[in-house]
Amino acid sequence: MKGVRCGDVSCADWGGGRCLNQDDINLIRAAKRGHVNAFTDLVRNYHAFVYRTAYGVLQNQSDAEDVTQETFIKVHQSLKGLRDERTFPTWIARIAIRTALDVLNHHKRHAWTPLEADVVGHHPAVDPDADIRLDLEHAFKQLDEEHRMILTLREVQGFQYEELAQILEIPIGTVRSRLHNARHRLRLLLSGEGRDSK
Amino acid sequence: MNCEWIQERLSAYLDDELSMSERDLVKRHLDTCSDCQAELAQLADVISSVQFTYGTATVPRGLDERIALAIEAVHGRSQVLRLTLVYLVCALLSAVTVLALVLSPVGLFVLAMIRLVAAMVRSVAYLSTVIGHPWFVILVACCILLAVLSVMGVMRTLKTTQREVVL
Repeated sequence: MKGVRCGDVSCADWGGGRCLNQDDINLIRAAKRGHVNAFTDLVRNYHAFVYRTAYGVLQNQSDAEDVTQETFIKVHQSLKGLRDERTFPTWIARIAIRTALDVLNHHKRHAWTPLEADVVGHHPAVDPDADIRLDLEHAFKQLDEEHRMILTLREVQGFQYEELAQILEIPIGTVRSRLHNARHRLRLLLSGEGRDSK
Repeated sequence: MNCEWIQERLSAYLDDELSMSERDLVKRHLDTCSDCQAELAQLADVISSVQFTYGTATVPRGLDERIALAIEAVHGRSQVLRLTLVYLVCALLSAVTVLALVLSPVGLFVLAMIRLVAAMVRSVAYLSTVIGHPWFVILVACCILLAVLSVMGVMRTLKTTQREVVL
């Protein structure tokens, strides 16, 4: 299963939204020059991408919304410093991940626990796959934050190993082993073998 | 090749991130090992579940608008801060320039000229008293005013006439 690349038909179906086409590059260039409408379009195109990344890590809708907002404020303030527009998805993902980590660290310092029933954006009463979603979200919440991060970036956003290494600032070998461990642990949790053990 | 070695590489095998040689080894092993085949299938299921659950998570409605509003507010605040800073710098520069002018020879010359003009205005005010005929001074002032108004009127008339001739 090769990761999703720009131009693939499946790209839009994933909802990853990280495919960068020429229109996006033009938007980024215009936003860098200070065009307000271009930045608004950029927000419209990438808010789902940032929100899903933040939600995957935080597992909380309210925090994910705050992180999405904070991420775009940071992007707005530092977009002019982005040299290569083609690295925009990696760059914005790194900002989102760092901002989400800041929120997690803040919660740790203040002994915060996420709401158990914070299942986001899906409606169990009308969603036939609600059980799968609930089981997976329950298992996902039990993962370490670094496992949640790498799984979200890889499975949801479709980043390649090299890009993951850049975003998470770790060697590519660590990406490989961490992704393997994360998937293995999630599989154990879903099968019930990994409960109450890390 | 034992199963443990293979299973450590199944994740990268699924992502097509193994070297050619490793990929061939894993592929050959999978052809003959049902345990590793099952492990591979389970990992693929896990990946599909994550993609299915988080890749299609609904984004809260109006989030992009809220972000745009927040950025507008931050932008507005920074603009106000920037303008205040510019105003303060300009005020400071003006104060320094005025001080430098006053203290410089040019400044002293300007000051002397201001004093001269003030003295002239004062002397005009005392003129009527000195001459002893206030009505005469008022009459002269009215004549000058009338002369200026007449000149302005003539010039305006000339200009209007020229424009009509051109048309």
